[in-house]
Amino acid sequence: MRFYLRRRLLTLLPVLLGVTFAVFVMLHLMPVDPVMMMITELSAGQAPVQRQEISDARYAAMRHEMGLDRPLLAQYGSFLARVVSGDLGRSFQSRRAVWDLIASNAGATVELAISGLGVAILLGISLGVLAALYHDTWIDAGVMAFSVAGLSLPSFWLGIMLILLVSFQLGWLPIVSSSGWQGLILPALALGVRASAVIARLVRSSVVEILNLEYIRTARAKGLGWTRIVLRHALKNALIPVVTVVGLQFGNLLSGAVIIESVFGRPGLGSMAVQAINFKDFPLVQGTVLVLAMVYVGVNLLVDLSYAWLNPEIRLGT
Amino acid sequence: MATSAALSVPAAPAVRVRGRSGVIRRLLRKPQTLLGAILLSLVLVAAVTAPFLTRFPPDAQAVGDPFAPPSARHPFGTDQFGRDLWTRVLYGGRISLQIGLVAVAIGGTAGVVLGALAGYASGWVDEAAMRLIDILLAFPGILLAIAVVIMLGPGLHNLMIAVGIGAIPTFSRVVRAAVLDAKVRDYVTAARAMGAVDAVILVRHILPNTIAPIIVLATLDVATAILSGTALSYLGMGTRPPTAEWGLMLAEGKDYMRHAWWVGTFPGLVITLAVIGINLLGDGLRDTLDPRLKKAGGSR
Repeated sequence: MRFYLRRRLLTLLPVLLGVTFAVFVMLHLMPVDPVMMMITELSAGQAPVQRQEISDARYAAMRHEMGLDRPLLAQYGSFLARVVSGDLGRSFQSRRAVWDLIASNAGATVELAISGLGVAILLGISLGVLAALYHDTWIDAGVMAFSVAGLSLPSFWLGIMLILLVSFQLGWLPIVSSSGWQGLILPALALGVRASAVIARLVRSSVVEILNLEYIRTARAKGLGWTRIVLRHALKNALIPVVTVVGLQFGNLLSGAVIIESVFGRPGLGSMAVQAINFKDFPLVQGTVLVLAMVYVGVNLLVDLSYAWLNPEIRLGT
Repeated sequence: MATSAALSVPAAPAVRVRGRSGVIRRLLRKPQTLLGAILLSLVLVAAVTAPFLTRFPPDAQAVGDPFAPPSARHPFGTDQFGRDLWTRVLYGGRISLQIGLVAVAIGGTAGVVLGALAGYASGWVDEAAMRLIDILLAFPGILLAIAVVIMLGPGLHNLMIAVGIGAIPTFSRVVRAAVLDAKVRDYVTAARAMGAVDAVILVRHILPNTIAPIIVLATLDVATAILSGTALSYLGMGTRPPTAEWGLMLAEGKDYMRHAWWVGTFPGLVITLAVIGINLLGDGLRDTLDPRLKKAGGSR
């Protein structure tokens, strides 16, 4: 396991460097002049300062001060050093540190992603098991139809339809996303359905495969109850491949939250990023993209490690 | 000379070009696949023949009262500007389907080239390509497309590129695996023994054998690309008003949902039907052309 861990961490290093470099380059490729951005920020004005308002000498001095006349790699080095020390710059709009803004909004997004994952796991596993138990019946066909629909529905449209149906027509839940658990139900559903479709498909095929194995036949021959066989014997093994998918889905849910937060008007990293994009608040956009990518890489690492721990074939590299 | 020698090597056997009608018959025998093909054809035909299916131009305002509910004159109702939603959904299909197809063409081409080079060259080329893919994969789901749109700026073409870049990793991984598998086969050894150069071996002998997974992936990825494209347009990072595009129509309709349910319902319904059609067809293609992908790509 230690060998696997070392190997996995070694491949992680170029990815981390690559991701930080990509995000660093992002700022250089954005349709905006970082020098003018900084001058606007320093002047504390609401409207951006125009290039013609600045003398060439001041522009050049500012460029030098910001280190933009240094080679790209050297600039990247400084960027990396700042990121490692937790300095992601300052938001143009609110003038607060990007890191603080991300930290104060991350909770809501993580809450939404975890609820979405909860919906996905509950719905996915129960539907998958149901389809496997009633393999090749209309129940199975129904679950597979749900799975195709779940994979094909745009999550933002599902969100809009849920608001229309549950809040407007039935009046069961508040329209504006409230802070309590009630406000989480619809966004979590809209976010989790797609992942539940993926999980249901996987659980179904995994359980069907395992129910045909000899040890299940032995358990039946021993006279064990069907429920006990499925829950205690089949499901336990059938869920091993699901671990990977659940982990990967969590990353997708984090990025899916970007859209769902906008649909439901919830606070969080997603709605903050969309707003930042609209206001051309580039340091905030850059910081959010970097943090989301890092979290995703971290989650993937945990998934790989847990999978290797569960499945010796992988950690031994066979 | 090397080329002519290579050409004389018997063609690789995996794809049955001659049995094309047989493949189509086998494909459409499954009711789900047939349903998918019908749904997709309906959406495609509706988009292509839009001018014949409606008498209004897509951007014409006040062709009816604002927020007129669905009726015989306006089957999908009208929006806040009195534009006919049936017309806009028909024309919107042109843009949304175009985004899906062009994005997959961009991402697929880049992914196939990258994957083929990585798989064939091995060594540092493979290592570098795989790390590049890892970096692309570090931006989950739609985040990669958002990041690219931020860099390139919003707009239809940039949206296509952004969504296309998101499709590169899957293509290159699948093609790399297929090339790795194919390059140790006897027919490649034979071609090499007869003096074929690498480029000829790769293009004439190996790539034709990876065509099945590429077709399957491309089909399924069009669905993903349509979803990403409409999502970006919904967020205001793609097409601009007054263009008729499904995602943008949803964004515009959302605020009026309380009083006019139809403005946000029909565009989403059509996206869903189109994507269901493509997914069902893609699943059928996978089962028929390349059952091996079933395990690896069940979730796509």
